[in-house]
Amino acid sequence: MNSVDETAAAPFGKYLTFNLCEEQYGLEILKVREIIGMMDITPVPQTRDHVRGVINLRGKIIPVIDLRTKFGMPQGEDTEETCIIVVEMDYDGEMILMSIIVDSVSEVMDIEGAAIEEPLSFGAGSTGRYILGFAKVRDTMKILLDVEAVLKAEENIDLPSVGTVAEAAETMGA
Amino acid sequence: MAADPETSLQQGLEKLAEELVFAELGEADASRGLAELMDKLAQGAEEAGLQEIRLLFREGARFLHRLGNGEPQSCAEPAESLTLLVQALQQLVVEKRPLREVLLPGDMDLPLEELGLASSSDEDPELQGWAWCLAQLPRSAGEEMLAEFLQDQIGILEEMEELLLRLEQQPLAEDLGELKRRIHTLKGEAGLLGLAEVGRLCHALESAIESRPFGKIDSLVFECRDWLMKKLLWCEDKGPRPESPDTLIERLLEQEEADSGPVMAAADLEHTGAGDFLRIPDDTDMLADFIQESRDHLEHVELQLLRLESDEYNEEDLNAVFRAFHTIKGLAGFFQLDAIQSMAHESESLLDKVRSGKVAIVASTLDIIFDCADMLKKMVAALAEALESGQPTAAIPPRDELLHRVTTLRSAPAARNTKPDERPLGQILVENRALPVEELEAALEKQRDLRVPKVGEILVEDGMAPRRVVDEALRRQREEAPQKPIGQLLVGNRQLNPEDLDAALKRQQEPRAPRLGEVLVREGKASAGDVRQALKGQGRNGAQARARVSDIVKVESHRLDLLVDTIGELVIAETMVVRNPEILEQGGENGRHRILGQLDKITRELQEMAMSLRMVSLRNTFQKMARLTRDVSRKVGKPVAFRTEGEETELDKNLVDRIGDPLVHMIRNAVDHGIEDDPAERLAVGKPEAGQVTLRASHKGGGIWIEVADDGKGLDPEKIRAKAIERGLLAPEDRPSERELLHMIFEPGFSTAKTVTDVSGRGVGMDVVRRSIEVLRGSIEVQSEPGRGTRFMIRLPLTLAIIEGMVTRIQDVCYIFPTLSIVRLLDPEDAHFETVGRTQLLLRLGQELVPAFDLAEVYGLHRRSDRKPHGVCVIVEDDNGRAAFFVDELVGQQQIVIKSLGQTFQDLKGLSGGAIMPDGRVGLIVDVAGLVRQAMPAGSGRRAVHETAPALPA
Repeated sequence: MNSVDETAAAPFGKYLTFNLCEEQYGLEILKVREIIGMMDITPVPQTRDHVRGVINLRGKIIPVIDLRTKFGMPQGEDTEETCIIVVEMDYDGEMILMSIIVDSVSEVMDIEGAAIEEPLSFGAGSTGRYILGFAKVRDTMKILLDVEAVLKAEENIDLPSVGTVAEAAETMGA
Repeated sequence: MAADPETSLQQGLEKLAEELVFAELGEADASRGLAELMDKLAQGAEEAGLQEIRLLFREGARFLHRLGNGEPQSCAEPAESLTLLVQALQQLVVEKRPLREVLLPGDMDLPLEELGLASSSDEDPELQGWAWCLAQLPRSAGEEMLAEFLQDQIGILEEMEELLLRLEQQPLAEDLGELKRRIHTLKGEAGLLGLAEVGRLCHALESAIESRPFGKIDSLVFECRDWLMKKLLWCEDKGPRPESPDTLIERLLEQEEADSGPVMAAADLEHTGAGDFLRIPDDTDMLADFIQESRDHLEHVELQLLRLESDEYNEEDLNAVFRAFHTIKGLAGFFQLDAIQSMAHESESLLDKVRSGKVAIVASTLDIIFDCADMLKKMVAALAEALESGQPTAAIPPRDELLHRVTTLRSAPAARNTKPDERPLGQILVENRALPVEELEAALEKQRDLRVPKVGEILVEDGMAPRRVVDEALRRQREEAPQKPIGQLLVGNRQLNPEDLDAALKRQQEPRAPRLGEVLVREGKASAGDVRQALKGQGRNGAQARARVSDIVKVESHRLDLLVDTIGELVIAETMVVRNPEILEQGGENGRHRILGQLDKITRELQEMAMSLRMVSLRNTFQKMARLTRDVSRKVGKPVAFRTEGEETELDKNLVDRIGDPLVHMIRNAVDHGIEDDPAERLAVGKPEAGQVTLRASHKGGGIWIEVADDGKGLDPEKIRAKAIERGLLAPEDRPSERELLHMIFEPGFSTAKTVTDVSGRGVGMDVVRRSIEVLRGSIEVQSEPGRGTRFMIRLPLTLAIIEGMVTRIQDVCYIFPTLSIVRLLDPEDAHFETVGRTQLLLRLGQELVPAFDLAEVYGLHRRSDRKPHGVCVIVEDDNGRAAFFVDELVGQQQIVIKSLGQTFQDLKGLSGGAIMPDGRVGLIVDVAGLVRQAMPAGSGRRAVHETAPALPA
């Protein structure tokens, strides 16, 4: 439980939920700038695998991160539903735009404080800092991502699959 | 968990701020509620041990209580004052700013003494004055005023440097007056804003200059200017805080005493001598009236003088000024204030001459009249001070120099009219005997001839046809077809397209006769000085200067950036529309094409305009270098003559801001190490005693060249060679070209202090210089001749925002090479390749072998099984040498608006940015220097060339 003290519980409020490799994630809506359909991405040479490249968002060039690759998930084909979520984040005191590719976007939902579980530390305890918490909504478990932490992390992250998360949460007496 | 007192204080304050927004302060309950909250917070502050903050809360609470009880208030708008107080508290509590730096409301009767803001024993009287004074200003006006003041005065201080340099060279009364006026203004404004230190230094400086022998400027004055600059920059939060000016002030005072000491003694005898006294008359009541009246008059005088300076000649204003001086003279006579009377008298007589047209109203005359008014003001002020403090006499500043100037001007021969000279320039010149009549007639003839330029000239001048082609056509015209116009010949030969000819013919019709003055100077018939003098008489110079001043609008630079960015996006969007195949295909009708063409034209114009907005001249930068040269030359004790050329050259502000540091480096090197240590050494080889350092800027080939040249001892190639071998940058058997050898000084290995003296003093951080120029997408060259000097040439793009780019393609991604760095484009089919070892491909280019690479491979995109050349070969050059890269295809050349790829890709090597391509996708801009470095790690590529080159048959 050592990481619990350091990580503030996820704030309650509106979340944008999306799907990635059969799992459901939540993203604080305040950080989301816009959602756009898949578009031409220019790959940037000599970058990490999870960096798909850059796109032109109305004249601004912004990087695109492939979340599947970032989380060490199997590569999937882009479909009709594949989306790019543009997020605004603080990067060394400057607000910048970044974007992530997700399988599909589901909905914006209110998540109450009561529904949120604090994140647990798993194994080596490194992935805990990418997760704000877990939310149980209508019997499904949503992983609330700290998107800034994810996008700032240089390395690829192995997030535990939600199955084990859910199980862990249950066994912890949630 | 119990919150610590500070946190709860912060939260409480936040709540207070919120409630204040909604509170109806007129209602007693609301005020009382807020007052209670304030009381509670005061208690909290006490618990947290924050005494000052407690005091402020307490005062706020009292204020609110009084408000709630309907007691009379000291301030007009309680809500605003309270808001200001709460803001100040937030800055204190949340941002933890020191009390001295926050803005307190001036009308709440805050216990400044208790807060430690008004105590005179304060260690930092400066900030005390500031905070307190801001507190006295109308709320909210304070910071704005300060910002405006800083902006203006920093500009003035920059100009002052130029003024000082000029004065040091040649003391002119006009310049000296200007200097004094500027220091005086700064003093006054600083006083208003409570910048006590600035005020004190200005005051000391002012009196020191006043007491000096006429126009003497020394390093101390420069130091004072620097201190003032530092101080103002610190106020703007742009630099460290300078030390107290006390030492400077002391030194000024010492000098003043030394300078004026002997004069003082003499002044006892001489009536108008330096620093004498006015005896205060007995009737103090009447004297107070006199002071008041004189002040009023002098204030009006200033206004009228300003009007005279900015407007056309205006008799009424002139008369008013005359009357004012006259009145003061009369009154002063009544009180037997001789010094004032004589001063007013002299001014009056001068004005009389002006009125009668015997002395011209030009800037220098006005300067003197201004100075007279200033002097009178000072004397009146001294009088007032003495009167208030009850002293029997008032010390007044020395007036010798000013009186001397007045008499000189007054007695000067009545050469010029008061009114702008309406005679033609030629007539003035002839009458001034600057030009014989015959020469004038010849020049007028010439002017008529020049009025219609030849088509060929226009074509060459505008770059529509090379001179060679035009000359050739002219020859043919003479020989074959004397009747045929030259334009037709060129068009017929397809050496010129008809549109260009039309444009040239149109330009020929434009009235662009050179001015007579230009013709005269160009032909060497009259000196530029004479012409300028004559033009001045015509009032042309003045009129131009005025027009410039009134046309400038100050705009915050970030707004400008935003505008430029937005226009950049517009250009991209426009390109997408115009080149959209769907829209083009639908066309067919002429109308659509015309509209699109027009849209295109307007957009380009807009873009050009936006770019020109960011263009600033190098003048300021060059001026700083003049100052630097002066300082360094003094420091190392070598006389140096510094020259600048082309300081009016304009380039992007971002570039101008960033070119300063490398230039400082290079100028310092030139003076310190480039110029011979001993002037005798120079004289021995027939060079002038003073070293010549030249800074030159010019436009060339779509870019800017900045050149730093000295006529010193030059670089010693042998020493560089030895050093390079020692540093392992060169193998003993290498035979680099002279250029390559000289360029070794840009290698990091050459930057240590020891090397500096070994290699004839060059190389101090030259690697840093090169790198900072590369960052600006420029390049640097060096030429040197032993014994004759060294020349550095920096090539810079005009702007950082746009480049001319060659678009290439690998798979479906566009890679853009800056056109400036491309040497050649080649079809690999036509080229010869050699292979070195098993891998390295070399392209034969005449005598030279250039390492060749597959760009995709360098970027790690894919590996080709065969290393055969394919596609198109782009040969680029940077300081590390040349290299060739294969790309799949050439798309074409176009202007590229450079976009940052953002923070995330900061460390990316080989790419310098991105660009939006006409199809809306992102293209990547190749960083040639980085790419070459990556492709040829640490000299391997270059070595390969040098080692193999001699082995191959030529």
